[in-house]
Amino acid sequence: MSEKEYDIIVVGAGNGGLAAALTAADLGKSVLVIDRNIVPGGCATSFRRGRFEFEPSLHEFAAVGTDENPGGCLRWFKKLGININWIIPKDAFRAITINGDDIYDVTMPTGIQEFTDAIEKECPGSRKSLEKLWKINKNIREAGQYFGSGKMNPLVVVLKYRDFMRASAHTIKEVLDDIGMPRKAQSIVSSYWPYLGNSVEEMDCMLYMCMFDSYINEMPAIPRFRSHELSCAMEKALTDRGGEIWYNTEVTSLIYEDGKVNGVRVGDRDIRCKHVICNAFPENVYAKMLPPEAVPERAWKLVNARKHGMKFFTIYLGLNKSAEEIGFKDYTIVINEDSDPIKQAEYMSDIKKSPVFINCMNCAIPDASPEGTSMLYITSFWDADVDIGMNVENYQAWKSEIADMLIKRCEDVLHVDIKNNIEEIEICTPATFARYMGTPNGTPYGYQIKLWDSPTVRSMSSRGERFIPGLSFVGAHQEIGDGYSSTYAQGRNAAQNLIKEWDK
Amino acid sequence: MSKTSFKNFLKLMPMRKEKVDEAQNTPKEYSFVGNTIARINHPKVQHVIITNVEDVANGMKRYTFSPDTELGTESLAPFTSGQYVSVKYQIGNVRTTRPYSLCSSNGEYQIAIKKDPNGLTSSYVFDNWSIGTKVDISAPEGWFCYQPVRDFKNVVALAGGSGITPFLSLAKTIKEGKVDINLTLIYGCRNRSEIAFKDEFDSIASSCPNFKVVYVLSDEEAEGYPHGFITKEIIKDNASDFDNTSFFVCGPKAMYNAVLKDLRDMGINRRHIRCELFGETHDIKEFSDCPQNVQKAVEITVKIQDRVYKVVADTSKTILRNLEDAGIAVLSKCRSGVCGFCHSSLVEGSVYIPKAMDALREADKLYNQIHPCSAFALSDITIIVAKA
Repeated sequence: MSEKEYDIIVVGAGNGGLAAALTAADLGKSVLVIDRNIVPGGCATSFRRGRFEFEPSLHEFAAVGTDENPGGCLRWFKKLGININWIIPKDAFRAITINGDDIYDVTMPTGIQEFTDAIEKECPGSRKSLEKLWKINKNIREAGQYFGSGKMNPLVVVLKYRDFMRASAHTIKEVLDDIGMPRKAQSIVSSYWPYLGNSVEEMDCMLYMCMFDSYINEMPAIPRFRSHELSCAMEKALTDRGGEIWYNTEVTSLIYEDGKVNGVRVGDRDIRCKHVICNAFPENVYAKMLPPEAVPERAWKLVNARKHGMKFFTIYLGLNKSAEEIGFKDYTIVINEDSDPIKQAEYMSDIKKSPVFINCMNCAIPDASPEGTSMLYITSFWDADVDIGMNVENYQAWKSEIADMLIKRCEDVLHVDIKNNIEEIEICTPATFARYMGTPNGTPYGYQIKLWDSPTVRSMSSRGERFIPGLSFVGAHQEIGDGYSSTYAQGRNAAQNLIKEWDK
Repeated sequence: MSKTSFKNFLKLMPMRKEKVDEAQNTPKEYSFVGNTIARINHPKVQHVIITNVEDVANGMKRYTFSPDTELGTESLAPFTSGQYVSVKYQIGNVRTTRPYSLCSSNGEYQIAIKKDPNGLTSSYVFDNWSIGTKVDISAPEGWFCYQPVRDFKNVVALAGGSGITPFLSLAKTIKEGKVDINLTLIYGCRNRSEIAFKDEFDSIASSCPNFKVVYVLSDEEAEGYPHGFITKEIIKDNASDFDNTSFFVCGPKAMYNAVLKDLRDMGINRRHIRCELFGETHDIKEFSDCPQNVQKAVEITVKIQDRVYKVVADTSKTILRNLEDAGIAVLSKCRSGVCGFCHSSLVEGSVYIPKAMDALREADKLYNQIHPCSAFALSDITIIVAKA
């Protein structure tokens, strides 16, 4: 039996892989996606325990917007005929600090005007600096639109998009100081995104502003039926366009011949294609799926220069009381041990003081679980290089101990009783995430964002960093970084660019 | 507005070049504890050899597994009492699996199988398995485990028939001091000859103050044994402090309904009751809500990767059973609708999914995803199934 040759084989049906596959299929290419899991989406999925269906990873999907004012992703979905039951949470977030110079408990709304008013109320005298921030933000958005149209004339960029350049070249802290934002306002503004994974002193302000824009300005949303709804919809759109997905199938290596990747090996089968798009981590692919001579020194240097994204720990709870009975009003609560963002960044290395994110699903989707019950997710995360005390021998005991500690921290800060209402519990550690995603210690975040390794710099470098002909990468480890909307956009770009080159 | 400048933008690319230039140009030692734990705890398959076979009750045998190093399994994955392994079978042309709770404590793998005269797999096991037989099993699966964050220290286990196995594992773990709970086991059997592991339970109970066992006989009256089924009276006679007790129930389907009703009558909070898997389904008529007047035979078209198979199916059996009987290997573990391993796409046709076995995700229903282990074909159907 002669094997079919595909235009593109995508290894991994995560967000990036699905978006790339769907884009290619939509442009008429023959596409095969191969995934070792049994459902699409990677971390974009759901799982059931008892009468609860949990969301494993999505907190909020950025840049959805509304039907009247759709954001980037929604426009793309609509073009592809994908319909998702979006729910828009009421507020952006509630932020609580326990120690430091500015102890607060504030609930921040979405919408630029509303957000500004709320900060001004909490921290009088902040308005002017915020307006400066929105001005920078506007310039970044316009620059994004300019780049999105495929143009990149350096002269135009220097003349028109100086704030974009400035925000890309400086850290969050430098920019916020420079626009004269008061300390407390800085703390609140910075409180929400420790999950970007680096300190306000090391991360570029550009990415931060993009996050701000997509979460505060363009409405974020969540799919009513967890992110499994997104992945099912993507899968259907792909197969409707003739794309195929093989589950529970592991690509053991890539076929590398005459200086080029031209297929994949699955057990004892060789499947040929013109190009392979990998959703897997570059170093996994370099080390395990290619012959050593296929990987140039520069590729290893780039991998070794980078740092991995954070390790995650999430407790999924099905409670046998309603959100109201337990005492939850907010979909998102972030607890920071200290109001100083720099100190807080140091706590990323302290498993007892790291930031805690709490999501009460029923505050956004009241009937997400049966009447009289609710679902709660408690997440904390730690620096990639920190020893968190987890090992093969103590694994089960360690898992319970950390879960107990985090639940207790939430109970103490929020004055609620969680532990005595648990009907279902699942605890996911870095090992659990590693099991499903195969990333280093299960990080969903690719490489850590730094000034020299930011989306801006990655995008400018990407052409020179395609090291192996016939192979490209998609996922959180690529240009745009982590997040659902980012990995969808990056996967889409990767496939579009590839096909554009073919068409030339 | 002076400390930051757009001009610094020009420094970014040289900064990246410098960082990359400085880095090592060969692969680094590449190992992460999270990935190591994932690999050890969740092997795709475990190759084992039977190293011991014992009779543990009338018509029930216990099998001990050791890793088959020749086939590449160096050690067996750790597990928690209450977990099961899915055993792979090839019986004639039929390729199937069955889940069995591990009845040993962590460190050793033992399962016990009760002979069902009408059962395909148990008859096969009794006729074919002996010391030296090679078997393929899954990694430990399932959530029917004592969970220290969630459960009370006082646990009452209600077991019926071969549903006793996970509790032997738990009792042994208590005895070894690896879990600190008080376990009261109420174990329902037909008669004394069917009580499995009696010596072991009695021995643990005599040496271990936080384990207690009561045997309840339904078909035999004997001194020292309560007679009948497990009822709320028997539970109340043998345990107390029900507001601070977690209940674990494992047994035949009929037992679940009766026991759950009793526990509800006793006012036990739902969150304090855990039930083990519903178990293999043999006939659509087991479900009171099943559709009537379904044609007896339909055709199932199955796509697995780029191969297509056609199977004439008996609509009284699950889709999974029909595929297995036709010699098609399908990934399956719990066979009760909950683990999700047989997740498949229904492309065409209609199916019946019993309410009692419906653990599909909400979006699965929107996008016609099914679990063949808990779905019956009502018409000719086409499904896409993962390669096992």
